[in-house]
Amino acid sequence: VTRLPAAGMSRGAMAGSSALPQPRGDADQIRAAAGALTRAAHTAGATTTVRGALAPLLAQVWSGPAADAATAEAAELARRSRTVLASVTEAARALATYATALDVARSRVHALQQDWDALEVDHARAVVLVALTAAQPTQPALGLDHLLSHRDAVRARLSRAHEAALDELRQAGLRAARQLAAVTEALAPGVAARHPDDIRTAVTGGLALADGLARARASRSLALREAAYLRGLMGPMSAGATGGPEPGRSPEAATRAAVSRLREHRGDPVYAQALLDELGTDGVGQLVTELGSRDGGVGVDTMRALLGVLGSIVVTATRGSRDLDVDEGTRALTAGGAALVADSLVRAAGSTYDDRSGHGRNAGYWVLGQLLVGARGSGDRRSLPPAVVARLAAAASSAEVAETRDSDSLLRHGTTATPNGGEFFASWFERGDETGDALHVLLAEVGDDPEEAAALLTTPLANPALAGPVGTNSRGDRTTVAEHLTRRWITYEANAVESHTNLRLATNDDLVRLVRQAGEGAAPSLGAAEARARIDGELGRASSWAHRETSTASLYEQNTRPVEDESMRWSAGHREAISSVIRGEGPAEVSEYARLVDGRAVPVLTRDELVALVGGYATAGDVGAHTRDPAASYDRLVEAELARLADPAQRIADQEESIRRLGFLDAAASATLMAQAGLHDARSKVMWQSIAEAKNVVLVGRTFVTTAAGPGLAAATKGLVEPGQSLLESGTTRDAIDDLAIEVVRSDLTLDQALLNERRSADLQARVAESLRAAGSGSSGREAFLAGAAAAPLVRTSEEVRRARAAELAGKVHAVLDERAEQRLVDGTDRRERDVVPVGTRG
Amino acid sequence: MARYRIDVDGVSHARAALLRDPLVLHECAVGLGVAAARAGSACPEAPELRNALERFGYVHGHAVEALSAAAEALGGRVDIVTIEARGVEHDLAAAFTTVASELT
Repeated sequence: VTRLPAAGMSRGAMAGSSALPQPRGDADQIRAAAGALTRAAHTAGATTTVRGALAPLLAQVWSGPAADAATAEAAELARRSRTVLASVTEAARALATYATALDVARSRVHALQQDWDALEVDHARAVVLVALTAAQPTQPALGLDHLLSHRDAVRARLSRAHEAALDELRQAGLRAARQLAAVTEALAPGVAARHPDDIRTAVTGGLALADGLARARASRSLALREAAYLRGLMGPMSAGATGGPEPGRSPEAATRAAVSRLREHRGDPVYAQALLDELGTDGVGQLVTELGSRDGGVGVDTMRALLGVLGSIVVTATRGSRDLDVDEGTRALTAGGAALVADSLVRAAGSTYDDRSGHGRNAGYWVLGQLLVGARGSGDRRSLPPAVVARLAAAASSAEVAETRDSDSLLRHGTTATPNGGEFFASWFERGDETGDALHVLLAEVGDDPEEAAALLTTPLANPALAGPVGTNSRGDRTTVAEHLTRRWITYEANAVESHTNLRLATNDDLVRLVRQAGEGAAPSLGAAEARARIDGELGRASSWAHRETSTASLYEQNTRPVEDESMRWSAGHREAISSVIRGEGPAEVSEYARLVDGRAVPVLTRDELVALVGGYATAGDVGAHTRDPAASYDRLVEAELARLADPAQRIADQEESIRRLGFLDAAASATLMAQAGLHDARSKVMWQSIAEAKNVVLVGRTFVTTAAGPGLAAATKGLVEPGQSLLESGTTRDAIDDLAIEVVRSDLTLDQALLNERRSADLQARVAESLRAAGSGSSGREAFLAGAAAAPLVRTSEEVRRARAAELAGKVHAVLDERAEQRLVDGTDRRERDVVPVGTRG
Repeated sequence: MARYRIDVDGVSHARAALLRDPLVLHECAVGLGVAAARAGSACPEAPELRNALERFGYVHGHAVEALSAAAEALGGRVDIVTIEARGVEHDLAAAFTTVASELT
């Protein structure tokens, strides 16, 4: 831009304001800003928090550990606040200094501009003067040259001074910038502190209470937003619910986005608890059911990822702050939140969630299992708290049993989804029999602590709807997890009409593991002993029920036998329990399942429970029509007792105790085997009775046809009267001869079994006597043996069985004779009636 | 005997003293950011200072905001204590009332 010389200036002149421009900037505005900073720092410094007035005030009115923590923190917060505000004041000072420097620079430049302008005027005058006073036309040039060089020299000096003023201002700006950078760097070091969270950490980090609660608030508000998004996922995507996915977004994409959002905060307990609180555990069940339905539009991998991240959130929420170093306040808050989440999960275990179409349903406990499998699959190894696992296992068990009694025939084992071919449980994951079995998944959560295992096994099932035999054990007490697991295959089978002869539940191994683990504690555990007593009681009950029929016996062999084998390992406990029963010292009250004996915790069983248990040991899977010796488990028990008897270190009293126990074992096994033989005989009898009924019906039919063809239809019809009358009156077409024949041909396994029992018993007694002889005792042990046997149910001898059978036969023979006599009487009456000729009819 | 001693009225007083702090500090944080921005726009000849002011305003604004949140959290904790203590007092009073009415 060409500037014209100002008035009074010569050509080539330039105004000072153009040649030496003022530095830009508004010192007043900078000063005002510095004042604002100072006022802000002053206002903040006057607050109770920053003044440090809170700490002494709190100390006066509140004491205890929490108060100490709060007071210390209030003091520390005040100290840090003052540091922050001091740096603000320092920054304000730096700004004010810069404003002054700007003012000085401007003044100096202004002065220089004036000098410049004065120079220009002087120069112009001098040029004119030189021109006027010149004698020769050529002379002025010399004077003018001198003037120009003078002006240039002065101009250069002024420019240098101008440059120096500006440079000084620049230096002042740099100094102010450095001061500001220094106080900023001191507060939030490094370039990493760009995020508000980093700055907050720099300022209030380590102040457990303040920082923790501030973080908690941030987590909570984030969780509320995520809950709104997840709720939006459940509705139609086009609806565009507030906070939900963008309208028109595919369920797959929206779910993937949700997974990625949730994953970021899954380890934050406040976030996890707030999310579950806002969405509700029912909401999680509903979400999984909706998105997992046929119309959900979400692929398997995304579904697994969603289950994984939600599972992690559930784990985080139930664990509270136990993995984190947080302040006392947050710890207390999350502990309370964890308890609420646990309650909510337990409640949800028994709920059912329908998808929108109404075709698919999932039970809460199944969804929970899927969440946990997902969490483990995503690498989350943090376990659920033991108390929560126990409650959830009990809730899942209750729900399983309740499922067998509801009217929903499609919901099986927690879902309406169909298991993969050959599997027993449906799952979103591979290996459905493990991952789809929610109870198994929960049991896998139990750690190595013996007390933890014992507590879980003795947790009662809590569903009040489970009254009656399904909800109670053999004593009428509420069923516990241990008992439910022992008979779980029965529950599984009761869920549908078809039977699964190849069923083998993973839970059996779980139960064995847990029971073994429960007994491994250093201190005697009444809980472990109680679990054993309950399992023993249920083993006997399940065995006696299962061994009535081939298919159930086979299921028992596959599913309960491993537990039974484990039960055999508790022989010490059994010995004590049997001895107690023989001494008449069973449970003091119904709920006594364990007691301390000589510093050991031993299970306490009733006589009937022990008899059923020994019967279970004695019974093998085969329920065919033949007599049987006790099974291997029983033999092991007896051999162990005989070995103890043969031990020379045994005291006489202990020897007698062993013999009594052997007597009890022998009688209990005999009673069970006899009962099974009797059952077979009864079945045989029923079979023959059915055959006899069929035979009679065939005979009546044939007679009817023959008579109708001969004497006529009337006579044939008359022939139907007698069997018909018999059927109406006694409910059977059989006569006494039929019953006699049946009594003769039916099986008599009871007698054979009684004979076998007696031989076995005699052999056992002989071995006892031999042992005693070898030990130098004069006694045969018979009295002790019989005393033990007397504590078991009375077993009929072969002679008693034979006599009973003979009496039965005699009864049937008498019945035949009576029937014949009656028939003769009836026949005679008929003849006499036929012989009487009505008056007036004789020729 | 008691492990804790809480003067509920005193705590309430402390809470009242804290009541305005979060808001005041928040306003300071906002004012601080505005002032830094204004100062930055008033010194175009000093780019380094402008940058430093921008960063200063951002960091210190959030820092004072963090102080505000901390003051609020501390006040919230005192609130909880007061509520808990009042709850205990209320329960005890209710229990004593029940016992007293049973005795009379």
